Amino acid sequence: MERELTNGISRSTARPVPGDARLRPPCEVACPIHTDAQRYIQMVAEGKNAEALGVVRETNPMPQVIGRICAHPCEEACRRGSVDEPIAICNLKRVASDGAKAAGLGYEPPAVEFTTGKKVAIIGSGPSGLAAAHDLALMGVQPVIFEKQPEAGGFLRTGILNYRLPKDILDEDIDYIRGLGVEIRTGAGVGEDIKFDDLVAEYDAVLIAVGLSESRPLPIPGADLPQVLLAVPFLENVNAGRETEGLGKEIIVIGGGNVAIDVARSAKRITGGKVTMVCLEADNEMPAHDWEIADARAEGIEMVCSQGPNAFVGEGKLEGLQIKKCESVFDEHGRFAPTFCETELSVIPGDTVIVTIGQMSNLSFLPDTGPALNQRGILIFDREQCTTSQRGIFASGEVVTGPGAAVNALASGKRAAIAVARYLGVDVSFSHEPVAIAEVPADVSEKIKPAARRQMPVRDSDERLKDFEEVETGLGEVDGRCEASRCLLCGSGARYSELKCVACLTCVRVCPYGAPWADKDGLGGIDAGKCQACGICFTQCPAKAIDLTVVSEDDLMASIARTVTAFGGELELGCWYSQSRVAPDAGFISLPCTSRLSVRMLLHALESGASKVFVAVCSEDDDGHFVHGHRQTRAAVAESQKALAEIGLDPELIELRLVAVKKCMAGK
Amino acid sequence: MRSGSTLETVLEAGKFAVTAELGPPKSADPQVIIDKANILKGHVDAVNITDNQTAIARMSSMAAAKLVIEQGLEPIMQMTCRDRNRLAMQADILGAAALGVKNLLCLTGDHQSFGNHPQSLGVFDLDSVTLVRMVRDMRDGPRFQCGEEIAFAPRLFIGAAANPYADPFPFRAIRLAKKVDAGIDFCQTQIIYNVEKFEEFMRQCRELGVTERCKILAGVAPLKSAGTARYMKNRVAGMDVPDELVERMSAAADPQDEGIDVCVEIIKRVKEIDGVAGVHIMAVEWESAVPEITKRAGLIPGSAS
Amino acid sequence: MITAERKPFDQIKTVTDQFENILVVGCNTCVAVCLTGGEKEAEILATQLRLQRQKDGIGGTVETVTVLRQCENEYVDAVAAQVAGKDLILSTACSIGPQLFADRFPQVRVAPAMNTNMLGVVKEHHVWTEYCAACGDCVIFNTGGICPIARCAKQLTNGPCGGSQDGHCEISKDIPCVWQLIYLKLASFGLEGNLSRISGPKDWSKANSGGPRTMKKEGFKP
Repeated sequence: MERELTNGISRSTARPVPGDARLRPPCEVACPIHTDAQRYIQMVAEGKNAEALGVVRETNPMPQVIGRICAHPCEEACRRGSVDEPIAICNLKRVASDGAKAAGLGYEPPAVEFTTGKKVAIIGSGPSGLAAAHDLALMGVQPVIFEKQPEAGGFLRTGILNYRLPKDILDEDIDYIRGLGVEIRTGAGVGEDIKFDDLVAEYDAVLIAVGLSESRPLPIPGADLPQVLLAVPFLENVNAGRETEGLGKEIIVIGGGNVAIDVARSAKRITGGKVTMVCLEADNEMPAHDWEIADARAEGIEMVCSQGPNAFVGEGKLEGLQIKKCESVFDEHGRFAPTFCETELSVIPGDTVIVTIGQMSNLSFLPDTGPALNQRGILIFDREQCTTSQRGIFASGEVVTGPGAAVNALASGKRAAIAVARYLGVDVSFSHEPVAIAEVPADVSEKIKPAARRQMPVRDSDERLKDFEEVETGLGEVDGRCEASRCLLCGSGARYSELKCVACLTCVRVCPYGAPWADKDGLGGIDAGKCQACGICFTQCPAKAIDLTVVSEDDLMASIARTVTAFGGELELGCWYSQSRVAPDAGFISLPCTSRLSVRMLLHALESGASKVFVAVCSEDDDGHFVHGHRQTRAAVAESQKALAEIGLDPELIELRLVAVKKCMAGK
Repeated sequence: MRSGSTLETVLEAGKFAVTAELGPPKSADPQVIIDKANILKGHVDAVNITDNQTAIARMSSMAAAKLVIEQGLEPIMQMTCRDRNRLAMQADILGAAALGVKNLLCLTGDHQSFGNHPQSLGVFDLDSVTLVRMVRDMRDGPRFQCGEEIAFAPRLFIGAAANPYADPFPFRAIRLAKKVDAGIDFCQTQIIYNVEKFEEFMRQCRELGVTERCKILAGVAPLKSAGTARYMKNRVAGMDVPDELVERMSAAADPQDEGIDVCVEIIKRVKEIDGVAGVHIMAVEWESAVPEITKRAGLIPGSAS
Repeated sequence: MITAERKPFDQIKTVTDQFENILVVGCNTCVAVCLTGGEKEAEILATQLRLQRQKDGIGGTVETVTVLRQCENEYVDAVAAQVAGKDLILSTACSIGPQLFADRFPQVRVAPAMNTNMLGVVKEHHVWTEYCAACGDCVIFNTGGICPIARCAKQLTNGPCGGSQDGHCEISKDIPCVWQLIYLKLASFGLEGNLSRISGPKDWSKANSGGPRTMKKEGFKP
């Protein structure tokens, strides 16, 4: 499989197959749907947002949604984190989708034919159901989604607020999936409007992806007071734009998770009153994401931590919440088992409480003869095969995995799609779990130039409290390209061929990062954990035993020839990290560093018909992105010029031109 | 007497010997030799005939030595290892002895890269030490290097060079001792400007018993100008010219006269050093300075006293 | 390793201009390790030749192939298919390579692209220094593991000449005086006194002065 890029470089898009020892970047490994973040980030760095969006779409059926609300485990895994801060991968996904949209590209779904003739009913149009439908459609299986709500999206629509995930964005992602031929029947509650058994009879398979649609109640004294609200109906009302009756001016939100934060921030927006969150966990162990907590605090929401609800206070009308000190939340096995000091009681005054202590599924639509539940009322489920106790009935998403991030629900849905497809006789297999490259060793990390992470711009906190419009405004093109340039290209560097190696030790001697190694027998390799993909070893290897993953010699040679043919005349070999082009009118190939250009490549450009070759290089006082990169570039150009002089050609046919490194890459 | 040469006679008699240097021309003109010989004649006991000095092709030292003999002056024929293998050397040694040469100075030779044929093959079949041994064996064996006997042995007074200023300094006296072991009768040193260091070298030579087995002639040379002094200091390998000497030459009103004075002062100082058996005055292409130096230094050739 | 460096292009061109179809043959052993004649360099030379011939209006082809070692008959024979139809084999190996090609492909003209210079060691990246003169009579146990034949400008066997100064050779400040190194090395073992012994004259008949050398080994013959 090859993908053509606009600059003419083609690169293998083949995924690692079982037995392939090639290590993958940890962002990709950490991602539940294994999105090739590195590849789309590189494209964002080059300003190729539509192509970047295309890469995201290879694995992600909801790129716009996930580019906004993702819990981004990829960033926690990002190796740049050990140098300074992780790449803002999630934000870059949004840069790709925003940028592509602005260019009017990347939103036209491919034409899909349901070649298998099979139909699948999917119950629930949340992220899991949508992901399954998306993937099934691409595999030629026709999905029909049944959604009891009037609009599709599940908790993405009913539970996540517009200021975090604008409804039109959600609509666009869903519309794309619809565009694949996925039918979504809204207002079609299974068990109410349609019988489960009818689905089983009518469809070749059924996927239960109903999520956790109900709030868990809090059974303490006073729970029946009318001012004690539950999160899910509250959020549904807010999201539907309905009046949220009964909200006072002093609102207490019980819970410390991400949903509780959403509830609190919504209440603040609606009432403008005082909003206090009460949670069992200590300040530093709140389950919500740190950035969510920080946003909430910025909006004036108070946090009362290490306190458990004891009773709702008030006769007929809520007056406050009695709380008790929570001494510990988890037992020694890490299980949820809070202990309280029953004597240390206090009351938080309040006129409304919204209980946000968790959600549960509603499986009442299942007939007794349907898939079996366990004693706790949870579906019996095979995680590997996504099957239930009833043949042909599958399940995915939070109804079986429990609460988690939206991207996990996507992953679950995607796995279920494969499981269903296999069941229906489609020749697919579960993808192999990739293995991540090791951490950046300290001796390498200190050689990597720090570059500050671009911060997501947000609307002013006073302004944003006035409405439900999106808080985060997007990194934008310029910051996006800068941020993308921070990527360390983990695992995209040197590939070593033991067969071709002549054990000359050149790579060991020239690598600025100490990645290559050799033992006394001349056996060696290149440590992918240390390699930064600068290309110096590749250009220096005398036996062509080293190639680069991004971009391989053959690909680059072909790309040079193609670009010269396409543009004619002059060719610029440029740098990702430079502020500008050095020959704006020339044909252009952009590289992570021009240090990967060999003498042969430069001569090849002329041999292919280039009238002039410009090579971008950074200043001698500045190492640019890679240690010693500019030295190698200078040496290769000097050698090439000498080679030209030797054969009686003008050495200046290959010309070095100075570029400045992007300001954002020039250190902190 | 090993050779019966004048130099040997003077030195064996315990007299202070005076030698000088005569460079053959880069031509076939015998008159150059004749003229130089006549300048030096009467002022020295013998003259060194250099062998392609500084690797520049010149009239052969053997031919020039024969011309010098004809002028009634005694030659010390120099022979380097650079240009000949052991076959050619032995041939020349036999030939030189047959022509009346009685002193042979055995040298490694400056590297060919210094001269006017830097692309030539450097032979270096032997080095100066093994050359000395070969000559000694030819004279005393008498046999060729291969061991074959020589029916009529060359009678030669065998010398070598010593440089107290080269490195490693602790090895310089040892190296001279090796040449003594190999068979030299006398040695001439590199040009001395740093007398203190030479004194230390001589102390080491006495310690090693070198002075008892070998006559040491201290090398001296008049400086022509401050420029020459600086050139020798900075550009000539194995030379040690103290800064104060360069300054003194720079300050001099008549540098040539001053140079001769300096040379004379050094001769007077080295003469006092235990083990110094004579001086070797190297006035290359300034042969006329030699009579003036010997005059000012009050040196009478041993052969004339 | 054997080190060799590429001939000036003009010299190569003088030969190659006379031929139409040329095979540049790289060698992936010594000359690859000394970064002058391996696969990469052979390809660069071939590219240069193509560019030059394009410019000078010379027709024909310049192709390239690289073998592991050009000093083995079997490896040389292995590229017979590539040699077929060529008028000239241009070898980037040490001079053994082109000689063996001439031997194995007697009908094709052969030219060296390289000048073979020494048996050397990598002193630092891109710097090689001569360590062995292949004199056939190794003496380095007596000289502190340092060869005075290969590493002394005058192949002296009895200590430094009068040109040794400040640790370097009289011919260049960039060349260390090997006898200084030997002296210091032996002194570090307290053995500098060993240098008082006269050594030599050296037996050059074991070097190539004794004529072209042949080495034979006893043992199994297939």
